[in-house]
Amino acid sequence: MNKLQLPLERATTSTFEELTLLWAETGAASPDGAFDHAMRVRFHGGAEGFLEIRASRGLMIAAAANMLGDDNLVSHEMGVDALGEVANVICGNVLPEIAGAEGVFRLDAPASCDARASVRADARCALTLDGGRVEVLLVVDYIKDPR
Amino acid sequence: MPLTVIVIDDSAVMRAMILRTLRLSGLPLGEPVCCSNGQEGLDAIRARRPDLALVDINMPVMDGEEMIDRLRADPKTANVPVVVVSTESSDARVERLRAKGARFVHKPFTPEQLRDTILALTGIPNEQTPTAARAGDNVDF
Repeated sequence: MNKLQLPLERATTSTFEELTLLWAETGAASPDGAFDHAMRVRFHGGAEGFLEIRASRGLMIAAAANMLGDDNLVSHEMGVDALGEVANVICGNVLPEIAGAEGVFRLDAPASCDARASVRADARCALTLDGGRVEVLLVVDYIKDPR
Repeated sequence: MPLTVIVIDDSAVMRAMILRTLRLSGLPLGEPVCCSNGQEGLDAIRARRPDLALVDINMPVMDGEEMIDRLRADPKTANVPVVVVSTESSDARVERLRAKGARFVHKPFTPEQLRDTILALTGIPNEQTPTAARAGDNVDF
């Protein structure tokens, strides 16, 4: 296991539990192409790279419903927004773990990307939750001060 | 007296979640205003002079830190209380924001964390807030 794997698993699990109230079991990585939507957050500063989250539609809707506290308010757009915010929070929590709390990071706004594209990730975390499946990929091009 | 609050975050879901959390926390809220980037937030604060602004950091058009810099540079808005609600975890940036008079709440947050930070910043005595609703209670927004 590389040094990025455990921090990514911790940040992913805790973010889903605390932000979306969805509890998870870590599972085997799903094959590429098995998800409905993907969001990518690029980061700069103390580390450079991106974090990508891929999810089934059911997972996106369940996450948004729990964040909003109301199933009736959830649309596909809200599901996409919620997935992007989850990616943003995971990214913001994993970066200090891998690059130190002294570093300053800039996170771009989450952007939709191809959920079926092949990505050579440095760390990968796949979870099965109540609402569906999710996979989080971390690609790091550069770390100024590795932990 | 209800608090006039402006919530500034580029995520519609997060704005709704913050509003829901504020209502769960039992704070006396007026009709809140929501903005999706720092420039919109700056314009709304200049127009409304709120009791409190809740601000994300990473946003398009103008980020939260630049917005706070502009607020502090203008005597008319220099004293607006600001709570930064962000995933930002770097010690350097958190200290920089604190030096600018902002309080910090880390995402994900609990209703209690947000309420206690706002109480400390606004000076509202804790006993003046109604009993906070329990997580999971239905709250309209």
